[in-house]
Amino acid sequence: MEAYRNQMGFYNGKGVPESWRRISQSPVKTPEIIRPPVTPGYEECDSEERDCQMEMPMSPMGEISMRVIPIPPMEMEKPAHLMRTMPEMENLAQPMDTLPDERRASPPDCAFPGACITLAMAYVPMQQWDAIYEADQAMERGTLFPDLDLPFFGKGDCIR
Amino acid sequence: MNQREILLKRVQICDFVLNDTALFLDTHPTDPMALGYYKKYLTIREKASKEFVEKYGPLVRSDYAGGPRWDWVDEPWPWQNKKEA
Repeated sequence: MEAYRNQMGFYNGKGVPESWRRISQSPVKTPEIIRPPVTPGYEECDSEERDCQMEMPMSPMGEISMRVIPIPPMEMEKPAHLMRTMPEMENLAQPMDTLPDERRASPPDCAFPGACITLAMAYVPMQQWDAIYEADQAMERGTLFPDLDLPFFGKGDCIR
Repeated sequence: MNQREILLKRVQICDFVLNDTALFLDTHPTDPMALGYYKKYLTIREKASKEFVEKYGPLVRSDYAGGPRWDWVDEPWPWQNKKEA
């Protein structure tokens, strides 16, 4: 599974499959997607077997019957507009339970690109008692710490 | 700036740096430099406010010294200062 994901481009160092990024950058308009229901038990399919196939049942609308084949790496390179017609292919090729929440959404469903990608991690460095202002200058600057004396340009207030 | 204003400003500056240092100490409770700085300005603040209270009346109501008059109500009130302290 790990090797398969690598091939699928899930671990490209940026947290976003290359194909998704192409999609999100593409100006092509999203066609309406009719999503077939997920077949119970399809998770048992071993994705590492390239010949793994499964039959999708008829959709509630009755007009869709499709075979889902895990996409080999070469097919990932197909033009973005083709990917957009069946964006769920990527997810269906993965057992849903193994996908983090943020990757379960199909890219076109994301109003904001960040919804499709790995959550960020933030850090705040521990402040050091280093150089400090003289007391009267601190009062003037609004902080005792030159490190925190930054140009904040708020609305409606004067700019120092 | 008259003597009253100078003393008031001194108290105000002390209060400011004490407050900012306290915020630092909240996350660095054992920082010796910060503790030393806080102690130093606490002393300056106490001295300045004591001098102010003796000469010009209370800064806070608890500065009442037990005299025959409740001098908290004596002018000037903060908004009667000619300029911001």
